[in-house]
Amino acid sequence: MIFYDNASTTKVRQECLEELEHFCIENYFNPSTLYSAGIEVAKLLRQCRQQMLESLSGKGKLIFTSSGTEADNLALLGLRYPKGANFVLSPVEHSAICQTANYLKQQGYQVRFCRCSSSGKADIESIKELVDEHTALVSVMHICNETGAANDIAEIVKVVKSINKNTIVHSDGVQALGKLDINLKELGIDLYSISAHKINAPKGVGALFVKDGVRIFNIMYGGGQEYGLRPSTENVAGIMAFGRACHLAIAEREEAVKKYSAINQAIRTKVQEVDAEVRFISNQDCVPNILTFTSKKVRGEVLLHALSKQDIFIGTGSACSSSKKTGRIPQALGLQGEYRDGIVRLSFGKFNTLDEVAYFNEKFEDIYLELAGTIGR
Amino acid sequence: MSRTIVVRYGELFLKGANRHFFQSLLQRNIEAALKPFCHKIIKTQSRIYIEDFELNVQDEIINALSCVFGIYSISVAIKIPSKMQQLKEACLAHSPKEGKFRVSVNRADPKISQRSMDIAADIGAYMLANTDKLKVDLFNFDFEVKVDMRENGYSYIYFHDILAQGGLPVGSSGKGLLLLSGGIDSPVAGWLMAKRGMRISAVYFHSFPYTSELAKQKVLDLAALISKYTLPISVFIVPFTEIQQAIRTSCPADYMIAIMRRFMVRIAEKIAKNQEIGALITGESLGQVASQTLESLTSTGAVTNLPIFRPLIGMDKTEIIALAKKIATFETSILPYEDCCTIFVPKNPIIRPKIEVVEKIEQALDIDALITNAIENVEIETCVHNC
Repeated sequence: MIFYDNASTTKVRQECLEELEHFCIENYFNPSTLYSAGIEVAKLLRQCRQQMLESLSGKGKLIFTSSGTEADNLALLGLRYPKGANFVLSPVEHSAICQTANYLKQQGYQVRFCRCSSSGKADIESIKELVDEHTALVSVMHICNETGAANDIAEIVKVVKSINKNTIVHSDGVQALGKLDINLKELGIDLYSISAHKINAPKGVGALFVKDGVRIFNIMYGGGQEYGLRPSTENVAGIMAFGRACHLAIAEREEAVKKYSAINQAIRTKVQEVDAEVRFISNQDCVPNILTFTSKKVRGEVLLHALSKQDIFIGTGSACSSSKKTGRIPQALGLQGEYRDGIVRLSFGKFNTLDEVAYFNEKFEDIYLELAGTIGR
Repeated sequence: MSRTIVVRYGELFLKGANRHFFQSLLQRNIEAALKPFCHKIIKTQSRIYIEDFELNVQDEIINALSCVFGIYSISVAIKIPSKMQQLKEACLAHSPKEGKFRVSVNRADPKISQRSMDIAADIGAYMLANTDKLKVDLFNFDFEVKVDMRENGYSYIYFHDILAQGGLPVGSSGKGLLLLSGGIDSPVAGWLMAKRGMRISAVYFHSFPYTSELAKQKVLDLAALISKYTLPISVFIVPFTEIQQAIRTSCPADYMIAIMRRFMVRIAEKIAKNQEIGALITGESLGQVASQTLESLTSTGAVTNLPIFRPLIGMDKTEIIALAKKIATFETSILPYEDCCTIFVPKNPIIRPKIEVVEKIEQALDIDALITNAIENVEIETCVHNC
């Protein structure tokens, strides 16, 4: 089996399983309790939070949530906005941002989308044009989950704050953790979302970084956990596994990126050789662990199904998700006509090896040519 | 005195010499529907009684019965011997304690000489005499006490009739093979034919990798949903990609759908004949899409000798949707999987295909080999409703 859909989720690594087991079976106590075992768990949780903040060079709070989506929701819905405020977003934001912004739009706020390049990178000039004295929030993802495009968050923060120092800048960093060298202090970002299951930790854990001085409010009600911002008993085992995965992913990042680059290049070369008309959406602006391209000869979903029959799992991104069809992403990327539904996304992860590539390339060539040659579209 | 569920037949009343066959079939279908529950079934000339069940599953039994075709109505009744004093006391005991009421008696027991009207009057008088807050009103009543005095020496007291589906018992009108897609129409068509007593099997044409495994699962889910009414459904999954590829390679794009439909009917006919199924069923509605014009239907129907039943032929889409909602297939039908891949749909399909043209185009295809290959690779799944 070859799993090239690591941008959707990843396999849990052994070290995280060990953390899970320990905190589910041995040290399973509620950190809010007053007996020594619970106090000890609370201490370990505090240490984990602190270590994660340090490894991301963040000065502020790290609020653990149930997912990246929840962290995005907390960021957008936890702020207080004056009447007439507007928001500026990248047009290829994840649904967790877009749909939440859509909700805010229904509450009477204005949502503005900046332009982006054909690889999904936000256009800073466009952001500059859109931000004004009423802009309450700018949200631009650090790495685009559809294409791998990496945004210059530090520059965006600088530009936004130079126009309106009160504007809060949020970034969805779910795809960036473990792929980029993240220094939250240098980025100058106010709010930053991350997720565990994209870095070989279990599903069900995410976190929102809130910079010192930024005031957000809880969107759920309950006990006072997570500074009162995210009530509910902490998912201690998941959080500890997240902390471990975060530490390891950062330590292994440079080596991993080299491997992704090699895999990316080998597949890119093959794809181009098989069909010179394939259009690569991922370019030099993108991280190497994501390779997105589109064909006008074979639909992305058809290629996905055919490869899955050979135990090769790839993604189509949300361009054609399994549960709904949306033209939002292809439109934002400027894809026209038959290129719109030919998108596939390969995303590489920790457990992929260079050795797999030859097999993938061979199968890809056979299947692609069969689909493109016999059937066409 | 015991709790009984009274099941009344629908059209079976109209049956003459064959009535016994229909009744036995209905009883078998009721037994199948009530398999999860402990109960006893008693068949009489014009009713079926369900007895000895746990009271806490009464609603579930009624739900299950209300999906059995051939049942006209259902009532929850108190069963007691047809003795006047006991009847009067039971009617009073089980009636609401206040309000306007009337008593209706149906006397099917020839051994009882008193007229129905007189029995009703006696019971009503007893109830009035023994309560303060009850009043008789024959026309504007709050509740009606119904007493059914049967030939078995027992009377059944009940207050409500629950209307069921009607129709004929599934299996009484032969077997039909439903061309089941993932859309709104075909499950409704299958349901309607099952309502007329047809035992349903289904055929689904799977075009992997052009349609996904999710699309196939959706069809199986739909089959499972209608099997609540039809008894378990065998779904024949036909690999259709090779045929579509051949059509696309050899035939003009505007005739693709017309030719594809003819292949579907040819394959369905073969499966039907192998399985001793006597008819094909489709969800076609006249003029709904290009493949459902009079000329298209003629072209499709020309490749089979079997009758093709199209129960939706005269219905509007809104009427079909209303039925799909009623039988709870609508929500599944509108899941988007079936239209994920519109690869084989030409932009301008022919609306009025001519048979002679279609036949001429088909000469480029090795029809027998394609069909044989598809049929050899058919998979069969049995779909059962999960209560």
